[in-house]
Amino acid sequence: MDSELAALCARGDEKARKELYTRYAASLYALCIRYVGDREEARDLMHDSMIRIFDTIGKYRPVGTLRSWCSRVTVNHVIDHLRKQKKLRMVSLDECQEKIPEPSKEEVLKIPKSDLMKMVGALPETKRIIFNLFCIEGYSHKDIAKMLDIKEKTSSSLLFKAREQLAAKVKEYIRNNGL
Amino acid sequence: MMKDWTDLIGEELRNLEEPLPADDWSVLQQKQTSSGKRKRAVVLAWTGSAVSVAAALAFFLLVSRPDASPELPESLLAEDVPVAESTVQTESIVQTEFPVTESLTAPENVAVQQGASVRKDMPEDSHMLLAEADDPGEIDVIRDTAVSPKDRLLSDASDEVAAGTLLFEDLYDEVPRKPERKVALSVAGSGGLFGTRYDGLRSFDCVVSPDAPPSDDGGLEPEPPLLDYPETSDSSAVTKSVPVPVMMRARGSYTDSYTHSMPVSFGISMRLQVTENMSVNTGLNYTCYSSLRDRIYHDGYRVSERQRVHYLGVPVRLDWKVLDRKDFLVYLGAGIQADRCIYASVGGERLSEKEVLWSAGGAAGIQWALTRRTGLYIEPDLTFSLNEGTLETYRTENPVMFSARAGLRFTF
Repeated sequence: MDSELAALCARGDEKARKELYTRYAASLYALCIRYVGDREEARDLMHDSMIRIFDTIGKYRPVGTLRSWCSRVTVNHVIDHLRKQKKLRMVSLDECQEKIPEPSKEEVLKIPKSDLMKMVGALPETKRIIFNLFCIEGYSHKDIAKMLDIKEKTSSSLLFKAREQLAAKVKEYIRNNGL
Repeated sequence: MMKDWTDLIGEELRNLEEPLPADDWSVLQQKQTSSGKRKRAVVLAWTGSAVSVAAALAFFLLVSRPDASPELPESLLAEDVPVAESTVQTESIVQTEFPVTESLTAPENVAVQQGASVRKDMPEDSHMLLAEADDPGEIDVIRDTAVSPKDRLLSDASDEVAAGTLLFEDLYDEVPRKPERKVALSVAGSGGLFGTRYDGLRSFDCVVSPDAPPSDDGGLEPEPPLLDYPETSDSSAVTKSVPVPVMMRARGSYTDSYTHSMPVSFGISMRLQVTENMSVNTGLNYTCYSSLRDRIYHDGYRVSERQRVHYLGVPVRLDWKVLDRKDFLVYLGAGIQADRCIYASVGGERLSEKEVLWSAGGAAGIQWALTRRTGLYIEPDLTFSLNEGTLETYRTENPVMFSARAGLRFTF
């Protein structure tokens, strides 16, 4: 099914392209919001990613789902974009923060997805990207290091900081909303 | 494996969808159309640039051929000589570049094709130019093909020589160095696409061949076979009445002149990124300098041989990225290169070049991403030679060279 749709899109079939858009555009848009925070910028990025997907869909091989392939193309595009915008700046790891207790799974489940999305989107740029890549997309630190041109150790350190900041936000949200 | 709270967030957010505005699809279609137009414009621009570069290269290659002759004054051209239509390269450049002036005094030891005249019954498409010698029955064979304006001039000059009014040395001394051609090389950005000449006197002692006829005829010699030139003449046209060429005689000093061809260069390079915008380029670069050496003895004996000098160079260049767009990269670079001669020969004789040649230069490069890891680039560069070797090449004649490199760049 995926490969048929991909083949039709590669041939320039407008109906097939619209079908692909209908299936995946909303999730790719959400993915872009997670990475850049700003909705307008995310929409532009999603459009550019869709154009790139249409241009390169002939390279899709049905070893994975079309959804994950589209997500990968979009993530790569977003990373390229952020790199060119020079938003990928390595922050100092010397920032000393007090140890914050991590939230439990139950606490996380009480928070609506849209608010979780906002919390992730509010993380500092580089930490947000690494958190997204590692925890949501499932990339390894080795892959992330290659993608962002950083050391693996830097990636894991930044993830640690991202987790700490997100934990603080979750705790604060729970405290403020009496959950 | 136990899931922690971040894995749970991942699962929650992974397949989350955000609603899009209703007109989003039409907005995307518009963007797609303009993107397609932009891409087509880029492809057209690149194709146009590539065609222009190819046309320029073809043009310079064409005009840099050794038979590309400078125009001669019409007053110097014989009107009654039939002109054969041929594109075969000739080796009469040295002879034809002698300015013939009537004020020159008469010599006694003239050496240029004395008494030669062009047979008028030659077919126009003939590949052999026969010149009648003084001695009946003996025919000089010049491995020239078409009777070019230069040859007509030579014919006239020969007549004057025969009449005792023209001295070879006088002729030679009047050879213009044609600096304007040299300038054209640099300005044209051809990187040696034009041929240039260099002349210099050296003494020479050589062996007397037992087959050589005594040179008591004022220096008249048959033309020796010219080496390493395209064999375009029909060798069967050489009759047995042609005297055996004399290769070695005691001829004293000689003059070398060089016609340099376009250097050919290719190599492999590696780019190491130092900072986000700066990178170091290095690698191996092979260059071949080919020249035609015309050795003219003062008795008129002439030998043309091909000289080839092969260099292997190591460039080190610092590149600075000035523009980085999605599929387009512009950079500037400056650096040095050390070239070492790995082999040099003229005719069958090996030459030696021990000196390492240094050069400095700057380049401006444009790279177009074909794929994520492959880029097509064009790099016009300007190179200044910092020292000269012992061999005469295009490089020694043109210390400042402009060239353009094109290639593929793989990024890992």
